[in-house]
Amino acid sequence: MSGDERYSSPVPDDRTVGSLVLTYGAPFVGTLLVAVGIAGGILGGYAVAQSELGLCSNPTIIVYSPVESGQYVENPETPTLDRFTVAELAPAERRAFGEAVQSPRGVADVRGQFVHRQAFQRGVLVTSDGTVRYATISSTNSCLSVDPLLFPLGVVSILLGILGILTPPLYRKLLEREERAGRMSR
Amino acid sequence: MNRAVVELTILGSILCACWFVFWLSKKRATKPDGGYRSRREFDVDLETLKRTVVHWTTTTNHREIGILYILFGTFAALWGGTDAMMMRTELLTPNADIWSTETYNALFTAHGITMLFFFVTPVFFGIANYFVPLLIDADDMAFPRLNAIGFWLLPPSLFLARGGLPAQVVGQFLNLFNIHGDLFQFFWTLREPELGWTLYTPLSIQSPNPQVNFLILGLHLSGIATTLGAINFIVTIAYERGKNVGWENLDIFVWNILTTSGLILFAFPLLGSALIMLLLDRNFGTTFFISEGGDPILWQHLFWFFGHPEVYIIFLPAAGLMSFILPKFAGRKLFGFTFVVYSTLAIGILSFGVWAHHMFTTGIDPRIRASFMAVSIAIAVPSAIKVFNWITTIWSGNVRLTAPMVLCISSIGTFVVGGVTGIFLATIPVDILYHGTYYVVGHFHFIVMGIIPFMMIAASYYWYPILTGRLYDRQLALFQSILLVFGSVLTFGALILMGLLTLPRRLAFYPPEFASFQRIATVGAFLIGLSVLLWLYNMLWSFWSGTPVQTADVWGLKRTQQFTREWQWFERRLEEKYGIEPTEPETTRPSSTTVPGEGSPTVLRTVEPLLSTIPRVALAAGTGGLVGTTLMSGVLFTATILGVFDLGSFSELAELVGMQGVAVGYLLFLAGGMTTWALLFAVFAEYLPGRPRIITGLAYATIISVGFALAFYTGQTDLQLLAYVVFVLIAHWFYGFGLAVTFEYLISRWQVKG
Repeated sequence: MSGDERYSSPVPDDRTVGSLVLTYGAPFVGTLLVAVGIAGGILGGYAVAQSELGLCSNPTIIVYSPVESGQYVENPETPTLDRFTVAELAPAERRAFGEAVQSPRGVADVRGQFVHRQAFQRGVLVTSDGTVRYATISSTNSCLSVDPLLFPLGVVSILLGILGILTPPLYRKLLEREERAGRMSR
Repeated sequence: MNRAVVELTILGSILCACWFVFWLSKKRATKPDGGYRSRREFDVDLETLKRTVVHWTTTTNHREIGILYILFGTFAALWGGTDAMMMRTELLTPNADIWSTETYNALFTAHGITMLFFFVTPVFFGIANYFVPLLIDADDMAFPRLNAIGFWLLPPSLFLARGGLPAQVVGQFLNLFNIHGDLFQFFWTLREPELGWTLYTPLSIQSPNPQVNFLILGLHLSGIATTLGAINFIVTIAYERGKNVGWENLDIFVWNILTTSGLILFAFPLLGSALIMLLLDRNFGTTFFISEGGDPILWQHLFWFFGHPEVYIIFLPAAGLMSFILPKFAGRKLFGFTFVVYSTLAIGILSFGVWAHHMFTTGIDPRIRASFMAVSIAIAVPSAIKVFNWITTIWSGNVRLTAPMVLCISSIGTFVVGGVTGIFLATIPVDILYHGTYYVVGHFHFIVMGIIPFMMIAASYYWYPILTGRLYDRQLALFQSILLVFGSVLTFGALILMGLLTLPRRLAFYPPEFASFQRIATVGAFLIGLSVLLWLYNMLWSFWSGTPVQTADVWGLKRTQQFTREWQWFERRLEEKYGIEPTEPETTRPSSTTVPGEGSPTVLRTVEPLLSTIPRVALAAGTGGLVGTTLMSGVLFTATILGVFDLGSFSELAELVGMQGVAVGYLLFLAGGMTTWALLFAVFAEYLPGRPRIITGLAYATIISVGFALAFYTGQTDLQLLAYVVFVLIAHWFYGFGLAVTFEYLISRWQVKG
């Protein structure tokens, strides 16, 4: 709509059946393609970026406070958990355990070889300086693995979708040009 | 992936894009004198900036505070919406391999809290701030300064509640420059809480994340802000009404805001108390919600005593907008106005008696559970009253499918789905099965998405001329509305289906067999996101480049005498400010008359004629059904001879009533053809496509043939299947023909008036 067009009467309903497909149908399909393309593009693109930038495969462990760990230490009903001293942990595990104990939120990433991964998965009791703490994996941070074709397909879908969304203004421009050309020839 | 950076980047990009659209549209806007488009110079001088900032931070004008509320709520919606999109992205794959499980937990917590506390209520308060005083002919709110305070408490409360995210980004920024030390530990410690918006104990007490304390304080502050606003609305509506505005002619939207404010007054202080108790438990060693000395379930009682009324606090303003806007585009007054008001008040009262239905699985006494089940089901009655009145308002109305109307009509549909799935959940056995599944998520999103934002957007379109003096792009608005509805149904429909398959919610991992459902839901969510961006674009672009209005009666409301007080105010303003003369339509008619097809339908006003008409219509339909079914039987008999239809399928029909035999089944089939289907035709014939009646009959028969084909299918394949379908269709056309012709003949012979 041009800026100086003013309505002096109630807004008219001027839709025709013929224009509905181009005005609403094409952009609708376009938007659907964009939505599908975003999903595919994100998955495909992130799978590449994740492995390149090393954004995955470092699991996060959580270490409970000594008070909270009491329920696992003293309760005979809880399953038997593996027990370790800090010295028995692998270097990366030890580092993460230390960081988690220091952190107010009790979490840290295991950056390096995670030797006792399966035990941590079930939950372990770690003794340091005579204090027993319960520790477990709170997030595995696994790597995303998808078909490499997903990213280009997602991009193509988004581009096609944008074309669909822009159909109404493009079509309007085309009609205006034809109209102008018609006036000129007359 | 680093969630904090990604989220703030997305949010920042959206805000930058908004600013760019706004700037570009302003640059390309027409000069006020209607001259050529001019390149706008970027003339931001310090003095103007200072004046603007001082003006907007100290204003007590109800309209300006309303706009501030709406802008704040929109920002919160974008933030909470970004959370939702990120959450849905995670669920594209069965493993938690885009975000970590902690991040996922934080995302759904932040999404719920942001949307419920910082998006919905502020936006409705904004709309009410702007329009309630205009609708009741008041100069301003009763306490303008309190109004301003109520708003200005919200930004700090949002910052407190969601400060974990910016803190995390600052921490990472400091890390980049290798800045370390205890002084900055704060930034590396705060993280968004991972509790769920319900903050259930004991998890919320045990969580070592200090951000939980700030979240509690933020929610408490927002509760104070909301309560202040509610007090102001109640006093304004009670004492500031104009001379000609009594309780009897109060607008429906105002009634809803009044009821909502009443609910807030009782619900939010309780939340505040419970939050303080939680804060004390976390930091000062009290044991309100700890099993040793207190009870974690107590938190659930207190929380849901607030939480369920909260559902209605966010729903009732939306219902008010629906009751207000729908009649304008149906060309008739709201049907059953008084009953809609009563239903609003009934919902307000009943909403405080249903909280324990959120706790059916906590092991509370079965007798208490049963009573809460009863009240929870009972609250469906006033909600249904609203729905029926909305539908009746549209019935035979002069419907104009503008963007607000499309949203209104769609909202009725999505609200019905959300409501009906809720009634199932209110029954204890079903709740126990589906508690904590996606069914619950789908159910409440059909309400919180299916009517609340729909009505907000409908209101933004409907009142856009008043807010800006311009008209938005109507084609884009219509497209955006359709997209929003489609995306919502796709997303939340998929969630309900997953829930029916009992997939637990709030888990970043899920079994791979649900991947297709989750992906459909995610694509639907992206459609919702795109439609919201389109809405935002339309609002911003049209602010400068929309067509300026030259009449206050943009929607032709004068034609049906529904030109309400806010539009009258707008008309006066246009006249005073721009000298625009009020316009009058050539013809007008009242929005409520007893003439069929014009005013409200005359349902139950004419009981006497109905009593004489109904038996004759039923008899005509029954006779038509007999003729139609007999004709249909001939076709089915032929199909049986040809071996494409199995008469044995009638015996299955007999089994439905505990009997056996083809003959019994056939008699049942005949009875169905004379009663159920024939009476349905009599009721809906008026609204089915095609004229004259014989075409209507054929259309009707074609529709119902699908059900028959499925019910009587006995394993035909290939060509036999094709022949079966063709014969079923022909048989139904015979039925439709016989039914329609006989019905039409008898109706005219007995002189039954429609």
